[in-house]
Amino acid sequence: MPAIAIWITLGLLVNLLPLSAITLVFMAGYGVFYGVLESGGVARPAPPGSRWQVPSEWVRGVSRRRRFLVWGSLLGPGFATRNPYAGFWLLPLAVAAVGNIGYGVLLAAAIGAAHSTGRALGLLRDVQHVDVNSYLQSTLRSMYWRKADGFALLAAGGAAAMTYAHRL
Amino acid sequence: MSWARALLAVGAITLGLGASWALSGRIVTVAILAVLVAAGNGYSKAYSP
Repeated sequence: MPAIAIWITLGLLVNLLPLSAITLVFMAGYGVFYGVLESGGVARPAPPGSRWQVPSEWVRGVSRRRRFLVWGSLLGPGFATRNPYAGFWLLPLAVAAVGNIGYGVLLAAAIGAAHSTGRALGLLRDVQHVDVNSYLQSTLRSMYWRKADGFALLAAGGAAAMTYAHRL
Repeated sequence: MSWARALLAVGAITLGLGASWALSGRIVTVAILAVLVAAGNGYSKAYSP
């Protein structure tokens, strides 16, 4: 819930401004650029992102309620954590591209719900099936998902380009 | 980049262009793809070493 609330706030703020057309252009460029890099297995330039991590004292030895708030509001939305896939930063652009406050908020909520649900399912999967201590296994999986993220970025970039072309 | 990967990349961008064209450039195509990217990003992030 905290993750969805933060995404909704973002959806509200970015759709107050007339950013739709320019964001579609950015989205098309970003999607094609990083889509080619990721699907082609090219490591550089690295996708934009943060290397900041939640300090351990924020979550160790604190109440469950406070831990829930910290994890949910900081890690759930995905903005404040390290993310090796460029696809994440396409999402705020997609929200800004809507150009309508109601639909923008709706999309932001859907993105927040999808991202946090995916994150929760990924963590559950890791607990049950993945040897989290295996760096090699983790790296191979990450490379696989990076390629998948690249193809998804290309599709989203193409869609953004066509949407913009229809507005001309 | 291998031929198979290059073909897949062209297929992906064509899919995005085609889906948006079929829906007359409505933003809903971008929205649906964004939700799919969000779900995949959240699910795959746990693998990041």
